[in-house]
Amino acid sequence: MARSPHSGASALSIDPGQLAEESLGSEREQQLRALVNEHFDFIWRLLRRMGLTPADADDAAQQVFMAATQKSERITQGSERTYLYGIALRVAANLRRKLARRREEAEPLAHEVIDLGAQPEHAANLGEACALLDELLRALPEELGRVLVLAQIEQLEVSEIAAAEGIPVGTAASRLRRARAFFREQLERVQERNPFREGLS
Amino acid sequence: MSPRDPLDSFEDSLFRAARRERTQTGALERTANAVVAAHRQRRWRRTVLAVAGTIALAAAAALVLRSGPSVEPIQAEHIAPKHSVSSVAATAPVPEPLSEPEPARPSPDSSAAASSSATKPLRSGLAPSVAATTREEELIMLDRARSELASGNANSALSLLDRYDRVSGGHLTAEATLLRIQALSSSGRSSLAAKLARRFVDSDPNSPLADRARGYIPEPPLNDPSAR
Repeated sequence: MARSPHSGASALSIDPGQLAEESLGSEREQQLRALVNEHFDFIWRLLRRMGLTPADADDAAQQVFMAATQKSERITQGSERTYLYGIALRVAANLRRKLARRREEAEPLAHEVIDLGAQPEHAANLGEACALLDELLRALPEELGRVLVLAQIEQLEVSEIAAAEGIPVGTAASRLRRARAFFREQLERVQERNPFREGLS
Repeated sequence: MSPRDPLDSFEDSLFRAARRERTQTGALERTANAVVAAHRQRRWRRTVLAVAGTIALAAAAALVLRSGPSVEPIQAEHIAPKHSVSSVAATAPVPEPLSEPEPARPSPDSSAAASSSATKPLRSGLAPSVAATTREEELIMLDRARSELASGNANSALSLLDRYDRVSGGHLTAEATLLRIQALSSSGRSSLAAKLARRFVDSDPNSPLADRARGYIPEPPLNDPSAR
């Protein structure tokens, strides 16, 4: 949209209002890009922990941002993550329902290997770890799994979790306690499957 | 320093692995591009809608102008007072009866002219105007009619008054009626002027303009009890 500084005489004929409009449009585009850059990984990881494959998480993340920016006037400054989180929950739920039948016939996701940017010999372990984590999270009640992901993976404060979930802080703290205890029980059950026993940290 | 609980370590490892997981397919860039493209599309659509809206407004305005309610220069020849019976009185040659018609059975023309001007809402039975005029707009219209009348163009004044009847919001009905009475009288149609004056006075005897209207009502002959 930006005009070339070398466009010469033609630039003189540009309506000032048009220039202002283009400048505003360009600024808005930068804001949108910044929004995606800042929150994409968070949303993508969240979608992954909600049981989507990396490819499905790619698509779902795009859906989340498309939906969010369609009515971007609803996003208030500072609440972007909460807003996106809410959309991500809905998108994930819809997608999971849609894919459920397909998944039943698909290869188990637990062994999907993802390039995590680690050393090649560790990548498989990391992929395996993610798959195991998802398995453990699936064993938790959904609302407990969500607060655990927000706390342990996204490292949000309890107050931030409460805001994202739209629940009182006390409720969020209580859920988190229960989630940790529940998860710990599950972990004990599968500790023989620790992919890092060989020494990877 | 006590050795770390292996379960803690296991738990940490799992969560750390999840934190390190990233998409490797360029999905972030694709998403950013898609979001920006959608934004541009929405802006473009809004612009198109705005332009279409402007065109529609302009077309509506043109229609309004063509249909009449305007305080812009009014050309009497552009007026098509098809539905205004009073315009017939103003522009068509009306044979002046030798004697006054019976008050109880006035001719349809004069009755409509009188009632539309003096007793009914101005737009009753007429082609509806697109937008009601303001008092100021009506003042301008009547000023033009008054000016025409003062210049000796009674028929032109009547045409303007017909137009006023079609489009006005009724802010200055009494003034318009008095002007019509004067214009009819000036154009030689004193019988119609008297009839309209009589109706006007009957409908609103306390109007500040009633006295002036009465001046157009001829005194009944002393030996004619049926007059009036």
